[in-house]
Amino acid sequence: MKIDNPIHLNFIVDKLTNSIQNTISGDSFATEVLRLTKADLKQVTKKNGWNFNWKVELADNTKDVFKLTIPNNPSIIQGLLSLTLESDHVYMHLLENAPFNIGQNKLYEGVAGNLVAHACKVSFQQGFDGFVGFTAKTKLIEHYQKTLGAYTLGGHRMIIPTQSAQVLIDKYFKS
Amino acid sequence: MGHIKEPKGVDFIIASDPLTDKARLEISEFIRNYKKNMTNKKAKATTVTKQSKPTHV
Repeated sequence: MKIDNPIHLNFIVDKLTNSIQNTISGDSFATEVLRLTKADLKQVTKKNGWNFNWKVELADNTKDVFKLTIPNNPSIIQGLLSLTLESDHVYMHLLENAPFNIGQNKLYEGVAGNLVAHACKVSFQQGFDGFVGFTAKTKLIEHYQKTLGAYTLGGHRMIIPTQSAQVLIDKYFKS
Repeated sequence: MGHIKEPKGVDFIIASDPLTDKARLEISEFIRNYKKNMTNKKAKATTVTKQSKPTHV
């Protein structure tokens, strides 16, 4: 039997904001979350610096795949998220910032937080009371507890409960 | 609005473990317990509030 090496979530919530912020100018930009399309796959490739095979994610009918963009610049994807709808919660499988939003020279802050908040929103919409599960790397568990209000379930498994999910949604989607 | 500093040497990429049936059960159990605790807390808070109300004669 093949046993896959576990790879754990490794996203950083760098800033809680209802938009993403340009790290150079400091300007904030409103964001929108849309479904990833086949046409988008041309730019989301390993050759272009993306780490995961989003073509496979999009082809998986059990998963919903979303992209974060700036409305005035919709052709540029800032980050991607894939999730599944379970019986009582949303489970985040992959979350990746665009290559230009990684590391010390990243262009925008707030991308990962926006996408996690979207997962929480989907959870409420599906009647799951905001519960969102995922797996975290050891060194980031405390970070997620602080920034997302997530709980550990033992091991690397984490869950964002109702109250924390509501806080994130209020931060990101309050109009 | 809080600014969270990034841990050094961490890439902004993620991938979750596949969700096993065991993990699903653990998550469901957490959700049940969380909801139960929240319901108990609300009930307790309501009781305390009612008791602490001043009575006017």
